[in-house]
Amino acid sequence: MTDRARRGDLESGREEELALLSCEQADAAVAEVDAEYRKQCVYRAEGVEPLEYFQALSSYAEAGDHLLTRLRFDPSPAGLRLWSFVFSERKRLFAARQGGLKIFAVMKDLGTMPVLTYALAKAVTFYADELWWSPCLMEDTRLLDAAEAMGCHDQCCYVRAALGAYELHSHFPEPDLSIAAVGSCCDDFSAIMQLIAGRGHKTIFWELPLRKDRAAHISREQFAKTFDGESWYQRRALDFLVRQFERVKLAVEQVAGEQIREEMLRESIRRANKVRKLVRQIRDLAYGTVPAPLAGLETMLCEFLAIHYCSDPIQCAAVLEDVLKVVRQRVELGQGVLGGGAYRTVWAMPCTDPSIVQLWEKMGGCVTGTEYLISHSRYRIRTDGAPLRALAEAVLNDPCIGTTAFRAQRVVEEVRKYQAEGVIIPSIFGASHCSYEIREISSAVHRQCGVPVLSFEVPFSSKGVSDQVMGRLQAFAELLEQRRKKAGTN
Amino acid sequence: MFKAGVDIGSRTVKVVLIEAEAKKVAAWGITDTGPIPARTATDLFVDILKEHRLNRRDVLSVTSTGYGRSSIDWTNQTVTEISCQAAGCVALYPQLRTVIDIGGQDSKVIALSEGGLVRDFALNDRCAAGTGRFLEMLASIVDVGVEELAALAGRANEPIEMNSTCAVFAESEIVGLLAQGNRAADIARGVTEAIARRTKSLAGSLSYEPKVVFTGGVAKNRAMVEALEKHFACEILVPENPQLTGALGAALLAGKAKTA
Repeated sequence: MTDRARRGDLESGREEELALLSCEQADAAVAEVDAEYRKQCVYRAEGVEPLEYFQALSSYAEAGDHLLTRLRFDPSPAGLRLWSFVFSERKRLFAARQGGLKIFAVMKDLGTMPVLTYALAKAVTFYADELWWSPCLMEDTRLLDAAEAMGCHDQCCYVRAALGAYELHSHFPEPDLSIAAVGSCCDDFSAIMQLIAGRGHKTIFWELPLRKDRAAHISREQFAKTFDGESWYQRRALDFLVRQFERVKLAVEQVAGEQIREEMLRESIRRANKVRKLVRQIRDLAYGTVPAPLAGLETMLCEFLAIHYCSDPIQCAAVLEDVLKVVRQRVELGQGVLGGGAYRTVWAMPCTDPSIVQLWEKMGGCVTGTEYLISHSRYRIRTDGAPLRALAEAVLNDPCIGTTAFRAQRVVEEVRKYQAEGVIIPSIFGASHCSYEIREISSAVHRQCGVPVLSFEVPFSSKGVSDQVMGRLQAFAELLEQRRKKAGTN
Repeated sequence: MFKAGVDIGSRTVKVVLIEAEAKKVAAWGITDTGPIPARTATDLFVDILKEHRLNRRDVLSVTSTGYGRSSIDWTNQTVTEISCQAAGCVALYPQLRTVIDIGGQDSKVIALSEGGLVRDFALNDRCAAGTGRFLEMLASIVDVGVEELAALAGRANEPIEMNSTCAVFAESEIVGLLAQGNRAADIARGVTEAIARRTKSLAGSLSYEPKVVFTGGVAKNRAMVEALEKHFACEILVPENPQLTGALGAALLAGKAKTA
């Protein structure tokens, strides 16, 4: 918690709540943004026509992401720029293709492979699996239907939307190479990538090793701790990963027709660390300050930028710097986008339906800590030693490749760090890991923190959030209110 | 003056009127939800007022709860069934620590702290597994009234273990079991056991404690109460009107709770 979170400050009446904007209001605000500021919001790459991306959010809704018309947005130019940046990725990818850049799609590893590919100047990388939330944003089952037509039903989570997108070419051009992590990770990702590869899309698979539990392991195996992130791993897993990275690097170089030299990789790591630091700073202030200077969805967008830069590392850093500036300013002025009395909750899964996060905020809650399965993308990557080995080591912080107890512990740490009153797990319908980890996370949180956990499945619905989900959230808000009354904090 | 609680459930609508000061139940009513829950709730509320020669002005505050709680526009606040069930049951049993509520389409377990505040809760999944719908489906297949199921289960010699608590899959399983010549009574007991097992599993994550109260329409089924007592290994209390506790809690919370 920051100094601003101290009760004394709150009681001094310095708190000021800023109103979030409707899509219509956001469009008006975008139109009023200074032309000089707008000129900074341009995608530039060698051989590619410069592409302005800061535009009315309703235009992205017209292009298919209908839910945007019902969401509410941060009123600052930086916040609106963030949304525009995220939703313009599609245009950047097609522009990059026209400009002759190489296009790499990555699946699952969430944070390290793009550092390798962005070492090349004439390449863009995107996360095909981030399409998991597209059906909800589109309020349309087009991508899921396309996946179903290819024999992939809801036995796989929403990540199957990527299969539909590969075939429809609706969200990204055909990648020159897809890089898919399999092995010790979510089964859905690998299943989908197998189907994609089977349909002739050029794919290289690489394997994630299991990060064994050091405490439970009684062999003579040697363990070490990651440079940042506090994860213990068996040393031979790192050697194995280095070999995987060497293999992928070779494939990337063949596609790009260019060798990735060590200094190129070091520069890419430096850039990644800069973005990661910005994300850490933003989330620490957003989650640790009362009143919250940034709403849950905006902070989530920032967190996810760390894994893929939305196909533009330069603008990604600029967007995050802008957001950080606004957040700092708000903290200084005691301004928040949510009331100071909001129920503080850690979210232990990214919500497939973003409107649910805003519904929770409307009900008086706030997001104050997350374990979105991408926490390894926030940690620093080692800058000493061999860069490829540093990347391999960074993978070993991945919460998905270890035990469920490890992930549960990360949730517990978030609860403690940000003094959360509860944990919400919006499980992803069909995701293989959700079924077994909810109970373990709940039990660890109950036992170690004594705060309640709400878990529910988020089904796709074109008619908005279901009554069942609304009822659960409202009941959770009432529960947290009762706990406050009992503790005498309200 | 009075306060009212309106519980709009998937199967029935319940209204309870309490005296605002004494907090005693002054009137209550219950009826099938029907196709338009809001209209049913409004009609029931108006009928109760008429029957007791009261005006809307005599009712200081109305709280609605249940899945249809937001469907009426004459309520002062909406509160979830979790908080209302807890408030209603604690009013009846002050030492209460756990509420099991099994309604037409959902089931829930609520853990309470000393003093009757909600400590934690668990709700069933999105489907109707382990709910009253499950019993209705059984009654329809074996061709008896829902209220006769307890007596039927009581005549069981050897309960049949059900593989499924999903209302859809269980239907074909029950039909299959009957076709194999199994007795309806043994199947009824098996279904009751399956629901009790599922409810116990729901409660498992909460570290529940006795004293336990069982509410909702299914609580009227004596065989269900016995099965729950066996699985929870403690006495299960059932209020005189187990379907009314949600509406009673809503009435007690009227003008009090913070609407989320």
